[in-house]
Amino acid sequence: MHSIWAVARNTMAQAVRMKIAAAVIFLLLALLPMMSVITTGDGTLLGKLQSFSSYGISLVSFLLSILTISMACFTLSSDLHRRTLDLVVTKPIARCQIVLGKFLGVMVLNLILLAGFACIVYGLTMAMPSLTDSDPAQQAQAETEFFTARKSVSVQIEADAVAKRVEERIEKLKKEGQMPDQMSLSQIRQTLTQQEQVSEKSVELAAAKEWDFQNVFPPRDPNAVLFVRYKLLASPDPPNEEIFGQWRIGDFRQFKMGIQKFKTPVYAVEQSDSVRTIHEIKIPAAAVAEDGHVTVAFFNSPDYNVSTVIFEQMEVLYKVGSFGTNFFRVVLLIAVRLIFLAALGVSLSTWLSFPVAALCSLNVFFAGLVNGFFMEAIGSLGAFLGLVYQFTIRWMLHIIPRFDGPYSPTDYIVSGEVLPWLFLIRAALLTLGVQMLLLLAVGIWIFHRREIAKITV
Amino acid sequence: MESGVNQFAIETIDLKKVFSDWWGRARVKAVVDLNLKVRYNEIYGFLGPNGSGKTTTIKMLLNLLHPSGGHAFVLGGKSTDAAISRRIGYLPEESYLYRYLTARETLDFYGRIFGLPGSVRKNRIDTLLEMVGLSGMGSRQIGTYSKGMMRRIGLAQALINDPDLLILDEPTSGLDPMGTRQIKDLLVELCRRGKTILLSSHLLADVEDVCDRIGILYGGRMQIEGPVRELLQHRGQVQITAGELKLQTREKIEALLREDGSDYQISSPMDKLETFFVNTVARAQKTQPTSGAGAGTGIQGFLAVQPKSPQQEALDRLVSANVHTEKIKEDVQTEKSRTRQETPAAKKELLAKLTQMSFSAEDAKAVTTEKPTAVPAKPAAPIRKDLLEKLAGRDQEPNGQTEKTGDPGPGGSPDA
Repeated sequence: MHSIWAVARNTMAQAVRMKIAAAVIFLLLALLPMMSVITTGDGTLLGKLQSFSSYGISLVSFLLSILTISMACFTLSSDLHRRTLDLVVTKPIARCQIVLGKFLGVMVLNLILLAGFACIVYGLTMAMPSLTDSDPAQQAQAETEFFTARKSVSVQIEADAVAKRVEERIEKLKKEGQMPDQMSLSQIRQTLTQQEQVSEKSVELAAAKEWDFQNVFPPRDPNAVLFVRYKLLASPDPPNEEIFGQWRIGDFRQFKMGIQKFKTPVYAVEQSDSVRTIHEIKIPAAAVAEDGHVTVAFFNSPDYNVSTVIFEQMEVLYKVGSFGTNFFRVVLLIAVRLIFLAALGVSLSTWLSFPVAALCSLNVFFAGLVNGFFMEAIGSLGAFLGLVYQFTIRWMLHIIPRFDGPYSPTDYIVSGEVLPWLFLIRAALLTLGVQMLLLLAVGIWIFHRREIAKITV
Repeated sequence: MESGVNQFAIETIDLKKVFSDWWGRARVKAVVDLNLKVRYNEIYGFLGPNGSGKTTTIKMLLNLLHPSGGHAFVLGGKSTDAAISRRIGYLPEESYLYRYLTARETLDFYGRIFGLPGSVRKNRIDTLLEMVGLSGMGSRQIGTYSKGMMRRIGLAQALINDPDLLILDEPTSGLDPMGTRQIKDLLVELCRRGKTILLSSHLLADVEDVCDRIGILYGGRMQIEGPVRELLQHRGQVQITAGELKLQTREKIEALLREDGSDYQISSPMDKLETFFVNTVARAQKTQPTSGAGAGTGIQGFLAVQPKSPQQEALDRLVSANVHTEKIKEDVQTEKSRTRQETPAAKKELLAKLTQMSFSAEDAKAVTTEKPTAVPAKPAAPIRKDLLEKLAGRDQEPNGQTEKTGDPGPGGSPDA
């Protein structure tokens, strides 16, 4: 262990003295305070907080990722290149200890930097409400929608029901002899599925739609609040870019069962919302039934609207934790990413030169940033092409970690959504416990076998 | 410690190394069937021109390169074994050190790898820096060092673990003559203390001065091997060295030789340039003690700090600092006594000469308190006292001569 730590200390000294980390540190030190002043968002305090935290966290995460990659790739390959390792390996130190020491050094330094910059972002965010002149309403909004950690519940599209309707429509087309000739069966099925998925989310003029949410358990507190968050599109575009919605939120089962006296209230909300923007409706949490059931209904009134409304997003949220601990978990999610990248760089540089190892690591990093998108894209490819990708790219995407979608740290903070411990631990186990260990094992194996003083003739 | 199986500190059996290209085609046969055997407690000179396979062999000994065939044993085992590598000190052909670390941090880094406890590490680092003459410059980054200074730190790191076996690849390259002399004296002294040293070099003068045995490598093959004395001595020739002779005496001798019918040559002996240089600098330092400390040339810097602590003292501290290696050292010494018994008379004589040249005993103390370098001051052969007294009128400084008296070469006054 003392050998590993000696190598780790040396690696940190290298990064600091050779000023590898300096550029990133100075850039962040200059940019973060400046961003806290110039970001405005949509003009409200909430918007300002959201845009600063979003840019701040993304920037810290991105720059430290790049730093981790370059440090990890540089340290071992420069030691090999400058032959300083010739001397080190003759000492009583195992090759794996050298690799682990390098990894540890890169990791520790970057985690220290992450901790430092996370504190700066956190401090600036917390100070922002008092430094900005905003009315109490905005302060309250920021308090309930940003400085919180809310659990989100959404309704899954019932894939079985959609598939069933698609099959029915195909049968109908076949019966009527209207199957398009130029399309294969799978293409027709795909097109119809997309159509059905859209219709699942859309509300025709003069129609209503209900979303049934299960397992919604806001705290049993008279002041507890339930948020309905949604984003709507309209087709055709309404003249004033707004949709007037008539909402009812509560336990609708009470209507059907004909109960005279309602146990839980049903709230009515009527408001006009701009399209293509995320909105939140705030109602008392008392609307939720004791078994965690709540229904949200939307009526597309022809008196006010002229368009079909398509809901891009529909979820209910309620507070489950504090902003501080959620922020901490988000930082841990970034830490998982950095630790993986450190292992990746060190592992690759056991047998690749610096530029090659750095490029490969960057590729993995950027692939990770769009991993989910790739997966979906491959999933929606035609039969033949899909098969080709299934056996080439897809398994590669599986062995590299995901950095997007639910693995992206910023969304949690911006939407005040909780990052559950369970999800964090699962991500850490998969990324670090499986993918990283595999990488390190391969790196150590290669390094153990290679000739350190190899001469190429 | 070698359980009697292996009597050699270094042994290679039919060691081969072929460098091949990407396609696996053999390109260079760097080492061919090498059987190198280095006994415990000797200084072995591993010689050869550039590209003869010296460094490749050393790298195979240390597992930096994998042999294409044959075996290499170090201290009776493989150097990958931590128990073995713990007892090896290695100085590569260039000092591959971390440029961003200071000298002190460098030694601390290697000390940590050996798992030396903090207090021991600090003691040794101080002692080693003093010994290699860099104690004033411990907190400077190595990137700012000259090549010779790097070489000194390289040597210091090789000694951090008080090794039983030192493998030195051209240790004196880039060093000034004073530094070269210091290192040579150090090697002899280390050998006297039971260490085994493999010295690879193509600076023949260095090797000749310190090595017990040498081997000459060419084209990856061992060309010749044996004790230095045996290899270099001219058989059937005799050399007589004397002080200044009267013309009469000289004619008498010549007449005798002519009578005998043998070929002869009479000339004045020459000083070795190294001895001359070392003496000159030492003399200059004695008269201008300030120049060494003040000037920023670096070299004079070391010289100024060096005399504060004789190497011997430093070595004592180094060896006693580690209890663990003490035991090993004892073992080596027993080994030493065995090998010593095997050595021929010629070698004994050589060794006696070498130890006399070194920093050993009273000579060193007398000199080093005033002079930084290992110039033996006292005449080694008391028989010549009368001659020396005669010489005293012409040359106040007898150092150059004493050097010669121990040498196999001719002795005499430096300027005659």
